[in-house]
Amino acid sequence: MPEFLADPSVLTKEKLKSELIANNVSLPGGEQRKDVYVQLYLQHLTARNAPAALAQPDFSSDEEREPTPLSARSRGGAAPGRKATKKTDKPRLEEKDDLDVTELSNEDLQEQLVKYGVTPGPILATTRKIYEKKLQKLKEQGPELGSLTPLPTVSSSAENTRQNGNNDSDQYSDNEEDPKVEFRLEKREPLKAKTKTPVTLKQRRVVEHNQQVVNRVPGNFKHAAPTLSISEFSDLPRRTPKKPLMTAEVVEKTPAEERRVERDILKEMFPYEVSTPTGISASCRRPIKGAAGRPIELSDFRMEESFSSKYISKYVPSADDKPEKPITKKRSIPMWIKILLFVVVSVFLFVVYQSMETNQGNPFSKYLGVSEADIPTD
Amino acid sequence: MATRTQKFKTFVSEPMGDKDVTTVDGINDELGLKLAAKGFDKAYILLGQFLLLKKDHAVFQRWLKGAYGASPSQAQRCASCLMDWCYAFL
Repeated sequence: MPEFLADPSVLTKEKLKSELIANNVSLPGGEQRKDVYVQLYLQHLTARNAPAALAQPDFSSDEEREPTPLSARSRGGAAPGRKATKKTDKPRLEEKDDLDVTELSNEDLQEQLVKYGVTPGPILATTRKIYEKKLQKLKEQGPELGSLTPLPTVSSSAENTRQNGNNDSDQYSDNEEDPKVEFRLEKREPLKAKTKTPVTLKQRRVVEHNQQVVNRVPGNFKHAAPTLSISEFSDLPRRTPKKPLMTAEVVEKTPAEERRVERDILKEMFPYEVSTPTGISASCRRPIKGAAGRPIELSDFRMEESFSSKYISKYVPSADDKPEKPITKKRSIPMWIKILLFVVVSVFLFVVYQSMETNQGNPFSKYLGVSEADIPTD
Repeated sequence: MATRTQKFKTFVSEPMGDKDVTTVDGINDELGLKLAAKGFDKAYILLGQFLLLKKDHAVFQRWLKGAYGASPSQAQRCASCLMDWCYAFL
């Protein structure tokens, strides 16, 4: 039976419209106020939620819809009991008479999946089986959060997990689960937490994602994930001597944990680095020395010495001056060097000009004459 | 063929990406809402259904009319729109 909200005003107008249309409720023409849709929703849909309890005026319009879900339920064999207990969410969660997911209609299957936060695509004949399996898996993990039903759920969930290739988690998770289980108890111990968190994180990836929900609930360490439950029950007696066991586990896991310890250290060293799955993150490139007025180091000057021996003397004082003023503002030093370089270049040009010029005549003709003369000589 | 509407041309002119199902020619708002309620909220899902039916115009139209109450013209426009898109990009 589809479950409709008791307070539809939490939905947006568009959502209300779509819900109404989806359930073959005729909408008034044109754009109405949200109130109108809320009322329609309440009338038609909330009524269907608990038709036995609520007396709705538009009950007659619901008749078409009522028999269908009822008949669907009767096939499941638990219909009569559900009518009375339909009002609130709690009985729904507990009972879930649609344990046989194959009995669900397409729409009901869709809604059940939506309740688990999964948005399924269209449920057609081709996709139905897949969604049924998914729902079954979700349901078996769901109830375990609330109650301890180890054996049956383990067996059934084991089947489901094998479908998804999670056999590995059962096989080698026995040893590695101990620190995970005990770690939940020891969350307050920061030292061990640091070494253990990455271990548990890695294992969580191995085990199904859904179990993360379980793991993070602090009080529910007893109601652990289904695949771990078998090994965990064997580990329960070992929980009491926590600390020595923890240290033993640490020793055992040293080679495997070294990488994770390193990762933690890296995180400590670079707390501002974004943690990415590949560990690669781009950061701003350090500015190149000597470009755009940034301070130049001694090594850069050495490269420029090859130009001419004349300039060694000039470079030396500038290089000497540089260490003298390391503390001064960064901008003042490059400016100072800029001016010096400018002077150097201008002197160089002047010298070249002088060496080329013999008579001060027409400078342009002289340039032409000199340049022509220079080319063959060079 | 009949002159194509602007919606048709827009849809067929570029990869559909994550466009809504209402951008397909022939799918108006109402039909789009019905489709979305059943899970066909994006154009590519409708395309998926079209491909599953082996790009058969008639079968696709029949499906659209039967399951979602589309009119014959709507179904025909939708089918030809998707078909042309497939010619262009598939």
